[in-house]
This record gives sequence, C-alpha cells and structure tokens, in this order.
Amino acid sequence: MIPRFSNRLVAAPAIGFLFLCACLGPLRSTAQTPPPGQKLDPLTMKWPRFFAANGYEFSVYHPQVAKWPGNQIQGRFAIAVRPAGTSNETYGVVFFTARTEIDKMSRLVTLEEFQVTKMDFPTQRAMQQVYQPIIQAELPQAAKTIPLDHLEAVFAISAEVAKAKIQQVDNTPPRIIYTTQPSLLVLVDGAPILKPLVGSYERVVNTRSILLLNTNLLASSYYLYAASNWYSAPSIEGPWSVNLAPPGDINPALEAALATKQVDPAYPASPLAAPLVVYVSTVPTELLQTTGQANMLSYENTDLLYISNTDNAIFYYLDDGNYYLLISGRWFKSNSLYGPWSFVATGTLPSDFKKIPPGGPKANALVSVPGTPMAQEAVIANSIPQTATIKRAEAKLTVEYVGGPSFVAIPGTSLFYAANTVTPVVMVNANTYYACQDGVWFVSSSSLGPWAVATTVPAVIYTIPTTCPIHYVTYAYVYGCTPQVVYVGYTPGYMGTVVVAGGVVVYGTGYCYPPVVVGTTYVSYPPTYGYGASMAVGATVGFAIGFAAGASSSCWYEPHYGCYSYSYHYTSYSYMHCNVNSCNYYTHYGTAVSSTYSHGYNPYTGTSYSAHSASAYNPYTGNYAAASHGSAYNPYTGAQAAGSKGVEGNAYTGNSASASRGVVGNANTGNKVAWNNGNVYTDKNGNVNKYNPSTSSYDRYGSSGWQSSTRSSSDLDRESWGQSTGSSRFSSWGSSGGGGWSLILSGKRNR
Amino acid sequence: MLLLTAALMTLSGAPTLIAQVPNEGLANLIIAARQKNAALLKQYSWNCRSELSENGVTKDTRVDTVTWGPDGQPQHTLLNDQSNPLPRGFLRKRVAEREREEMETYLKSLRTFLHQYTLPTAGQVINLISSTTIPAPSPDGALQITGASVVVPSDTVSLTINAPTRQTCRMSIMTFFNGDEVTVIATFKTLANGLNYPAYIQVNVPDKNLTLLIQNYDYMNQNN
Repeated sequence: MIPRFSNRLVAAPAIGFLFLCACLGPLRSTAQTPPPGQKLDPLTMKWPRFFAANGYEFSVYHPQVAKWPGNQIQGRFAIAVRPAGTSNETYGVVFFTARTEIDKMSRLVTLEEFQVTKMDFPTQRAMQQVYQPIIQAELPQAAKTIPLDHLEAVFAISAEVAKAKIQQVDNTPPRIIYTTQPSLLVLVDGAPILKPLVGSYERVVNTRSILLLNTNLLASSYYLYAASNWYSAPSIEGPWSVNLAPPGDINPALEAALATKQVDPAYPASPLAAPLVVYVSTVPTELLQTTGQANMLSYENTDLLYISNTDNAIFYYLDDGNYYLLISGRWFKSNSLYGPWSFVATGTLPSDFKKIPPGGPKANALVSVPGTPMAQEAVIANSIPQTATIKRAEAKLTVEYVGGPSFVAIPGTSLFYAANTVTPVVMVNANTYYACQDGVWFVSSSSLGPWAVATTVPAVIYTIPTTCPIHYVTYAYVYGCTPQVVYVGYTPGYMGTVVVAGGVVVYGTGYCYPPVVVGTTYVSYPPTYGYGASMAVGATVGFAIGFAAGASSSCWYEPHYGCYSYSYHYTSYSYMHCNVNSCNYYTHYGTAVSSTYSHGYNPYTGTSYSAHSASAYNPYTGNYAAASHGSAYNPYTGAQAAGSKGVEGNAYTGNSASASRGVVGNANTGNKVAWNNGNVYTDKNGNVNKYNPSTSSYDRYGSSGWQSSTRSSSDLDRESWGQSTGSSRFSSWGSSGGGGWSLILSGKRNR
Repeated sequence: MLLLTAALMTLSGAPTLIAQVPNEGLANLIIAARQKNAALLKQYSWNCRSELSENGVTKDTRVDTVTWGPDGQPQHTLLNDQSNPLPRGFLRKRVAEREREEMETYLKSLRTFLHQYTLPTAGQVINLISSTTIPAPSPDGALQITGASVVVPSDTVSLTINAPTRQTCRMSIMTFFNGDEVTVIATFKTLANGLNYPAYIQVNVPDKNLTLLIQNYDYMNQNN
C-alpha cells in the first residue's frame, strides 16, 4: 500500500524555503485539543500520529520504552517524514526522555518535560538539522498523552525492565474455613478486647463488626449484629446461631456501637433469604464457600479440575490428588477442602497450572502462576506508579493520634513508627518525622506537626521491612520538586501488594500485626487474609487486584488501615472491590493536586472520568459490568449490590472537569491512512524496521531505503506483540467506559 | 455370563471421540487411561470363577482360564464346572434342561444388556461425564462420577475413579431389565504394574432371587 498523508495538509514548498522556516521554528501544528464536551475519536489515541509543519509531514509510530524508573521514562519513536504532498518518506528514530504523569484511573500517561535526546535519519542525516526543531516542537504535543496500556505492554517485553524488589513474606497458611452454605466470616484482630459500651454490654473493639458481650449473668452471651440479624453464641468462638429474640435492652447497645463510627453493620445488599452461618475468628482466616456441594469441572488438555460453584480459586490436581487454593496470591494445597492446608513453595506448583486457558474460568489464577506472561505483566504493572503533581502550598496534613503520639521501634532499622494513628508516621530522629498520607510524604520537626509536603524522603525509610505494619509506605515516592510543586507517585505496593520470590505479586506480607487499641479506638494494620484479595490480568484491563470479602453473603468487610482508611476520622470506607492498580488516592487532595495536565480526560466520553457511571471489572469472569452511580459491584460474582456505596469523581479535575484540558490528539487522524498500518518499530540501536508480510520477516530502513534484514526478528516480534496488546487493551478499556474499579475507588465513600 | 467380566474389562478401552462438552478434558483423561489399560490387559491371562445362586442356593459354579485369541477376543477355557446334576427321569430332566436353557438365555440377554454399562465407546464415557456434576474428590483421591438414565430411564451408574491414575476403583449400577431391578457392584484392583481389573463383580436380580458372583484372579503376564 502506498502511504499517503491527508489531503488537508499543505503542498510541499521548496526545500530551501522550508529549511529557513524550520530554522525559524514551526509554523503550524496539527496537534489539537478538542473543545469542551466533544467526544474524541478513539482512533486519536492510536498510532501512528501525525503532525505537519514547515512543509513537512511527520508520522510518529508507537513508542518503545527503554527505561522507566519512577516517573522518568526513556524511549524512542520511529518517525517517518516527507515533504508535504509527496510520498517520498524517510524513516528515522527519535530518542526521548520525559517525566511521566501517570493516571491509572484513566489509564493515560502524559509526557511532560519532553526532551529529544537524539535522532537519526540514516538516509537524510543532512536534513536532521531541519527536522530537529520541528520534532522538538511538535512531538511533545503529538505524543503528549499515551494510553498507559500502550506503554505498559511494550515495557513488559522490554529487556530493560528493572528487576522487581523481592520481599520476604510470611506464607504461614491462615485458618481456612470451607462451607457449603451462605456464611459470614467475622474477623477479630486477636483475642477480643472488651470495652464497656452501655448498660451491661461491652463491645469487642478490635473488630469492625458489631460484636457485643452481655455481661448480665442471666443473659451472658456474645451478640453479633450483621446483615440485619442478631446472632448469639456462648463464647466468641461459637457456635453462633441467629437470635430472633435478643434481649430487650440490646437496641440501645446497637445504637451506641454505631455511634462510635468504628463499626460496620455489614448491611446486606438485599434482604437475605435466610440467616447466615456465622464464623468468628480471632486469627487470620479466609472463608471458602461453594454454593452447595462443590461441583468440579475440568479443563481441556490439563490434569486440573476446578470448582465451578465458588467465587474462590480452588483447583484439584488429579495427578497428586490435592486441592490447590489461591488466596492473596499464594497457593496452598490439601487433599481435602476441609484441610489441613500447606503452603506451596515457589517452584513446586504443578506445571499444569500454566495451561489454564487464559480465557477460561478461573483464568485470573494465571497471575499467580510463576512464569506465565500474566505473572510477568503483574510484576511490571506493580512497578508502575500512580503519579501526581502536588501543590506544596496547598497540600495539608493533620495527624490525629489516639492519645499522645506513641512510637514503636521498627526492627532492623533506626526508625520508629507511630502505633496509635491510622496515618503512618515515621520518626527518623528526634527532630525529623515523616508521614505518608494518601501517597504523599510530609515532613515535620515534630510528631504533632505542622507538616509540609516533603521534597525528599530519606533512603532509610525504604528499608522498613515487611515485618513492620507500615511497610506499605515504602511504595510511595517523591520523584522531584519545584518551588511550587512536588512530583509524587506510588506503586500498587502502597495498597498491599508485594513481589515475592518466583516473580509473582501477592497481596499482603502475610505477617499478622498486633492491633493497637487505645481507649475504645482500634487502629488496624494491613491484613493479608480475610478479605478475598484476588488478582487478575485481563486481556482488556491489565493488572487488577480486588477484594470480595463476604461476597457470597452480600455483606462487606473491608481492609481498614492506612491507605484504606481515608482521612483521620476512623470512619470506615468501602474498598471491597477496588482495583488497586487503577485507583488514585491523590484524589483526596482536591485542588492541591495540580490539574493542568491532559490526564483526567476520558477521550471516549469527552468528559472527565465519569463520576456518575463506572464499569466494574470482574476479575473472575473477565467481564465488565456497568455500574451506576452509587452502586457496588461484586467482582467475584458479577452481581451488583445496592447503592450503599457512593463514588466521587477525580479530584484531579473535579466532578465537572472541563474537557478543555483534554488529550492532545490529532484531529486529522480520521482523515489519514496510517503508513504501514503502524507496524514500524525501532530497536534499541536506533534501527527502523517494519514487518514485511510477504517474507514474514522485518525489513530494515538503511541508507538505501528498506532492505531485508537477516537478523533475528524475535525481539521485533515481541515489540509487535506489545504494541498490539497495549492497543487492544486500551481500546477495550475505553469502550468499556473507562474507569474499571477505579471509579469505585476514585474518592471517599458515602455510606 | 463370563463375558460379563470381559465386558467390564472394556472399561479399560474405548475408541476416540472428540466433542466439545463439559468436562471433556476429564473424560479424555479417563478414556486415555482405559485405552492404556486395555493394551496392558492384552498381555495377561487370568482365572475367572463364577457362581450363580438362586434363592440363596448355589446352582452353578465354574472356573475358567481367560486368554486372548488370535482374533483379539478373550477366550474362556473351562477348568472346573460344579453345576448341579440334572434330575433323573425323562420329564423331570427335560424340565430341568429347559429351565437351565432359559436361565442361560436370560443370563446371556442380561449380559448383553449390562454390557452397555461398561461404556464401551468414548462417546458413552463423555456423555456420562458431561451430563453429571462431579463432587469434590475425597481425601484418598477418589473421584465420584454418577449418572442417571444412562442406558434406560431411571437407571443410575456410579463410577469411582482414582484421580491420580484415572482408573476405575468401583462401579455400581442400578437398572431395570425386563421390568426387574438389577444391581451390579464391581470392585477393581490394580496390579503393581498398573493393570486395573474387576476383581469382584456381584450382580443381583432381587425379583428373581438371582445372584451372580464373579471373581477374577491370578493375572499372569504372558510376556514374562
């Protein structure tokens, strides 16, 4: 096919005139910002992109990433150029660096401080001085906004991917309860700590559940209020049964418990047909539940069966007669669903697990199968931060301690952390304190403040081990600053993910951190188990993590620590089915987050990330389901719950962000025919290659034009795969309405 | 009736049939195990003892040696027959002979009927496995596959499969033949080299007070 440019572009003037013009600077650019409210053609996010200036037409191909440490990216573009109106294109490669603003909610990356570091047009090196100023002026606009999936996919296949930091975790199996009936797991963080509530009632304060003890000797019993029912038991371990005639004085106790705003009544999404079977556990516990007796189904070409009527990922390996259970990214096995379960060490998971069909049931388990592309991609995605630019003058922090500040030594370091606040506060020395609030570091000379946005973070903080409850703060970074702003970001580790030996991402460190109860206030720390943490790498959405605790019972319990416990009011918010890989805690900073960037714009809707609609992603089925404002979505079952959980928009742009901040795209794309269908790739040496379907190999662009290449094409094949995967994934993301779970997690919750 | 043993042996062999149905993957694994076992069985001879009882009284007991003929079919060589002697007297003897012929005819028909429950084709295996729900395997690795209306309406077939080997451990059938309820319970054993065979088979026809017991033993590898 003969490549051609848009006929809207001007005809080519004389080279000499253009040379002069180019030296004076670009005369026009076709990169445009769409007017407010205008829907942008999804194709504008595709490649190649085009711009024209000074009588030359440029075609910019899919970027390739060489390095992406933190928020700094290094990469290259293949670029074709020709005099306007001609077909005499010349190919070259342009190397660049830029600072990346990454918004995982919209899955867009904005390239800021874009610098062309090198370029090479091998057949027209004499013209490079003509092209250089045009490219430096236009390319930052044409390539300003790039779907994260485009970059992530090509980065995933890059040999330059940095080795993920492997963390030591505890893989001791939790208590695992298997049930065939609708059940509810109530977690108590250690032995029950009772505090007087009202009358003869005491409340178990180290739980989010409404768990009371009636100390009246005549009616001494534990009472649990959940899912609109009272349950009672002679001891906290049970047995629990529904109590249809609780003591008459229990309602004031319930009201008093609710008034503490520290409890979760576990309201069901819809009235339950029957009371739940209740399990109360004081140790880390996970609940496995099948709808009735387990129903096994097999995969083709594997020796694996899986249980089809459960939200859990439970497999049966015929060859050794063991069940394999995936919890929080970890594998456990047992010859019985009732246990005992043992941890499956790295390298001992049967290879058949790699054969789980990527599009089939329970395919999300592939994320946790070492060596699979999904596991590899999860590690890559886990390394990419959500970034933000924080206005130093506006970002504020107030740390509330339960009582006076109480610091505890962090083993293996010289640091101390505050144990009686939900805000992680680290004492570096007697006069230096750092606090991490919603992914932003603050510094103060006093534990009580005042706090200022930190422009650097001491390296020692990043040595906080996984045995420390606030290890998660080691995934929040400061990338740089100006007198006005600080560039920050956090990777999914901030929300609980950890990369472990074997190259897989797990959720939680596995360590059971002791709770802190001061007075009647309970400060919880990151739990690994009990919330149905699951991960997914979907063909469309990329890496995702979610919680579905109590999914089957339609009652929700949520992680409640640090980043999951918004603000300092000890108020519970819902993160039960968030995608921690596409959420944005920086939304909590409102206008303190600089919003001058093009991210925050949904090119598919022409508006900001819709605050009133969302599509939720089901990691188990791989399906998306539309969820309207205020509705909750069960990522395990695909069922939508009633609208007890609200969402808010992205504070980058606010709920009514102007589309004028929109994506820099090329409005002419729709009128163009892409050269070579976009299949032009550069290698790390700067060679420009394109796929030749007639020879099933790659031709290289050299001093005499396109020539057959004799080199191995495997790396180019990978580039091609990465580009196509990224493109299709972003297209799916966009067509789904964008957002995914991110919109459910895009801001604080309304009960 | 001896052919019933051979028929149950076909649990270990079946031609290939490919269809995209639920649990086809598991079905194919079981089919493959049966094919492998069938090939192994061809190397063996064994003894088969069968005992027919009526109203609790043993009517016939015989022991055969089973080998494989040139046509690939099992051949039975009688080693011992302890059938009850026919009564004296022409008429009584004639009546007894007719009863014996009728019984043999009945048992032959029953054997042919029950042969269908050996699921001799891959398609039948797939049909059974795809049409049922498979519960969680027990801690000893036993996989229970239970189907209903497999051959005739309201019958039930239950196969217990050893998960690691995919070989049959047990088979039970409840069906109806000529209006009579018939139950079959077969218990399988496995030799050290992996040969899986029905060690004990019990067929009951309660309405006729008939019981047929079959025992297979002394499996000898003819290649040794």
